[in-house]
Amino acid sequence: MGPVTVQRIYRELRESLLLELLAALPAEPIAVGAADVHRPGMALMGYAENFLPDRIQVFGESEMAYINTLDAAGQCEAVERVLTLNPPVIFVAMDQTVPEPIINMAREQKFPLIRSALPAVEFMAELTHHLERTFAPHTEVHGTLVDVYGVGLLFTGRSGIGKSECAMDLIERGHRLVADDIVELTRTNEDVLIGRYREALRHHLEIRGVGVIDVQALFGIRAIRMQKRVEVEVQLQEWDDSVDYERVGSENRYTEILGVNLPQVALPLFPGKNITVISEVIALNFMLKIYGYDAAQVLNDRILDTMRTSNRLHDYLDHDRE
Amino acid sequence: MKTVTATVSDPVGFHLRAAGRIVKLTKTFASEVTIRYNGRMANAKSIMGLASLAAEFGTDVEIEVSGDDEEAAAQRLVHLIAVELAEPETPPGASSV
Repeated sequence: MGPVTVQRIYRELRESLLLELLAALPAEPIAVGAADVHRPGMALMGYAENFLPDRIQVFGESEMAYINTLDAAGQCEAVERVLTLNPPVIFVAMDQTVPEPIINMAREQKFPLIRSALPAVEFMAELTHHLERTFAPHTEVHGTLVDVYGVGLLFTGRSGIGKSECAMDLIERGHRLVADDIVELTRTNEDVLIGRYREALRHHLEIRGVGVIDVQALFGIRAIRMQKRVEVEVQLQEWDDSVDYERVGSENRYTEILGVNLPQVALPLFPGKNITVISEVIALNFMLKIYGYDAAQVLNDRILDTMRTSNRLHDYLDHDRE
Repeated sequence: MKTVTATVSDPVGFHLRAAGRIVKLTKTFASEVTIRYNGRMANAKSIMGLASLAAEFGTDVEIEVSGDDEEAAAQRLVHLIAVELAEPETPPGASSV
C-alpha cells in the first residue's frame, strides 16, 4: 500500500474527483497524516484557534467569496494564515477561479494547490471516503474466504489441512471464491471487516496433486467475488479426541481480528466428513441468528416448556386423591 | 522464534517453481515459517502465497521461523533462497547427494 502522500492522492483521484493542478506538485513526497478534511473558513479571517494542524484544507464557495473581497496583499495574507496550519495540500472546489497572487504564491512557496470541478460538499465526501479507506487498519491472514449464501466464511487452519479443497467444493456447489491462501483484510467500519484477494493471486487455487488452477477461467464469473465482508471464521482442525468440540451451539465463541469480533467455529476433520455441507449449514445458521432465530435457544426453550407442562400434569395427578 | 534475512538468488525471482522448491523444503520441518517481503507476508508452506510476494532477484526477504527445529530450518532456507535457487532444480532421478 505504501504511505499516503499528496502525490498519490492526486494520482489515484485525478479522474474521479476531476482534479487539476494549479501549481506543479513538488517532486519530493508530501505525507498526509490524517484522514479528515477541513474547511479553513475562520482561519482565513485570522481566527485559527482549535484548528488542527496538518489537515487537508478545502476552499469552498464561501472561502473563495471571502478571498475575492480582499486586495492582492490581503489575499496573500489570508492564505498565509491557513499555511501556518501546515496543510499538506489546499484544494479549491467547484472549479472556482483562483486569483493570480495566490497561484504565484503556491508556485514560489511550493505548496500543492489543486482545483476540483466538484462542489465542495460532494468533493469532501468523496475525498474523506477515499482517505478513510486508505487509512483503515489492514492486515493479512493465511486462509481462504468464500461467500456462502451471502455469508463471508473465512477458513483458517494449518497449511495442507484442506482449505483450498473445501473452497473448490463450495465453488462446485455454486458459492463464490473471494480469496485463497492469503486474505487481505481491512477494517472499514467499527465492526466491519472486508476481505480481498491479493492482486498477484486473484482467484487462483492450488489443489494438492493437481497444481494451480484459475477459478474464473474454469467456472466463470459466477464463481468469484472481488471482496466480501468477513462474518464467521471456520477453523479447520485435525480431529482430536481430547478436545471438547461444540455440541450445543448456544454459546458463541469469538475471535478478534483488527479489533472486530468474529464468531468462530472450530471444525474437526476426519475422512469422509462432508465439510462443504457443514460449511453451508454454518452460513445458514449464522443468517438465522442474525434474523433473530437461534436454533439451540429455541430447542432449549421447547425442552424447558415440555418439562414445565409435564410437571403441571404430575402435580395435577399427585394432588388427585379422589 | 528466529528471524533471518536472505537475498533472492533466483534470476527470475520467486516464480511458481522457485516457490515450489521453498515449500518442499519447508514441509520437511515442523516449524511455522513466514516469509516477508515489501510489507507483505506469506506462509512458506504455501506455493501461492510465496509466488504472490513477487520478490525479485537480488532483493532481501525476511524469514521468520518458529518451532522446535527453527535453527536448522532457518539455516537450510537461507541457503536455498540465497544460494541454491541460482541453479535450476536437480532433475528427478539425478543424485541429489
